[in-house]
Amino acid sequence: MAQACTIPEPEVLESSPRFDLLRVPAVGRFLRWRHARTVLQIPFLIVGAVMILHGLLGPSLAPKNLATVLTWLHFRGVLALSILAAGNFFCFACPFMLLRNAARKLLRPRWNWPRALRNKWLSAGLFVLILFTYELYDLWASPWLTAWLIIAYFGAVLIVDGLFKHASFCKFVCPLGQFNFAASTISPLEVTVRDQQICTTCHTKDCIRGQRTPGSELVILQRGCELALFQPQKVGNMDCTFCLDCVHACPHDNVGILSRMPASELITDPMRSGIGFFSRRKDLTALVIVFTFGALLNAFGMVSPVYVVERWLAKLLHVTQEAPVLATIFGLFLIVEPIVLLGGAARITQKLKGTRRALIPSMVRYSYSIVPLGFGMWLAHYGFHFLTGLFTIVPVTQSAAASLGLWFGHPHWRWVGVPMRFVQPVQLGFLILGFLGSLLVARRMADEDCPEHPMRVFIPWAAVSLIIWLAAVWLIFQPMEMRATMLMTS
Amino acid sequence: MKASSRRGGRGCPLTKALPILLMLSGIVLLMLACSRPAAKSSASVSDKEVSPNPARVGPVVVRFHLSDAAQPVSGAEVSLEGDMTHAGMAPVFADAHEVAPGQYQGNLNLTMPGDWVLLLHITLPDGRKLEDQIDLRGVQSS
Repeated sequence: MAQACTIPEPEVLESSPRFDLLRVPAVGRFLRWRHARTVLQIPFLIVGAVMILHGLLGPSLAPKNLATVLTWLHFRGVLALSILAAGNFFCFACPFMLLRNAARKLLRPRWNWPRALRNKWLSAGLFVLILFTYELYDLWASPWLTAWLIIAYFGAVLIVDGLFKHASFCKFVCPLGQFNFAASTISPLEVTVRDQQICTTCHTKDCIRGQRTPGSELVILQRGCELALFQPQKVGNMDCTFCLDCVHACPHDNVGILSRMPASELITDPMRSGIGFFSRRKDLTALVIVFTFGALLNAFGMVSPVYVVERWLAKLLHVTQEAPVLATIFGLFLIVEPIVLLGGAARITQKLKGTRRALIPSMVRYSYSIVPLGFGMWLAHYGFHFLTGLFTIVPVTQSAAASLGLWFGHPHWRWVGVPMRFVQPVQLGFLILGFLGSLLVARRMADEDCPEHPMRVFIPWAAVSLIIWLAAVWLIFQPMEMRATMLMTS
Repeated sequence: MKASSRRGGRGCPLTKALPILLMLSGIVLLMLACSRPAAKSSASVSDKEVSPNPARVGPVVVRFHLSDAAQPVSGAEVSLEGDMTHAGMAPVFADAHEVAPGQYQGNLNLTMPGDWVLLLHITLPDGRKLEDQIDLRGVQSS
């Protein structure tokens, strides 16, 4: 009888970085500058304010409004591409934090975030809620609702971080942040220590505690990590907003933005500061499931077959309202499908004696292998809208400026973007990259956990990736159907 | 390093500028809110019609009647624009021509299934501008 593989002891990753963004001339100097974040946040805040105003007061047609064009085309596309190319720099430039910091000068938070909510369950739920709201209320088609979504986001940040200390909103609430955290596990850069040896001799731990006034420990001169990531034990990008507080706080200049193998943090399972073990975080797995299967779901909402499914479900459920039909589709995509695929793969892994873990822990451990594929799907989807609508920002800005009496010329409404025939190969490329990434992660996980018989782990989880990949490829080759009304013809 | 240079964000001129930014945003808001609306025209569009009905991807014919004080308006310049409700999709354009007194007709080529909004950009013979729209929900594949 075959012996089941043992569970390896968690180990701390040894990093061998070769590139440090903070050492790059000009760029590094700018990022090390204390006010770099604020300088980037201010334009984002101004753009956010303009989007809100135009969304509320501008044209009601989505393609003519800055709120919808910037939010649903450019923001999402640039966000995904920047995470792929570098790291979580959108959290770095987050305008919500600028407003929060200003508000905290007036009102200091008093409470710690409730212990029961110190996980990703709430934020994963909010992630689902945003996807659901997007479909139910056709957010892409409504500048007014898009503007209110941005306002609600500002309001939520001010309330949560006005009441609770540290970066409670970023770590435990922000659905957009969770997207960035999950996606940035694939990024080629991470904020990490340059030399572990220096940290072992450091006694002040300023990177987490913050720099304090000598003699007066209560006065913080430079805050440390608000997300409880202690640099020497921080692994990867999960929960890291790239705020660079640790860079500024470290008295030894020992924190950099270093290169690493993308997705490497998904492979091993060390104890991570501020996070714990990935393999013990069911809430993180839930986030990964929402991230990956949500990518398929979000794309499925934009292709013709969704009509057929919706009509069939409406008939089956005897309903004419959209909400129950959508809820059923969400349940199928985000609960049933993951349970069948991931649970099935975990069960087969057990049957093959590839792991000694129980079913759920096995599912939790290996579900991280699908993150690259999920990100590939988001890239394919967001990249499509970004590229095919790339130039639409020009006429919309011209039109918005004209409404303020500023003359930027006649709006060039014929400016759209890259033709679809050129974009589809790019989409396929993202999906292939994601698929290869998932296969690589699954294989490396198998090598880590079951070096004697890695195929016992790899084959079931490679099969999961293959099924998801085939579904994703099928989706991008479906005819697009930009609909705002679902059941009108049912 | 001197403690004074470590004051992260405290007293930072950039964050001090935040109220000014918010004030500027308020001014823009006021400008938008107070911007003068386009002069109301007594001319109106009626009997808007798109065929085939329901509309399908491909060529569609747009017809409407233009009148002013219950009298048909002849000699107006009309351009048609079709936009999808999702931003980023290519709009389609065409001109409409007068086929009978006050009756205009144009052909648009809808490129994708889904929800469309057809905009009628009308310049009346006396130079006044008029805008109207036709919502085309659920355009189906041909």
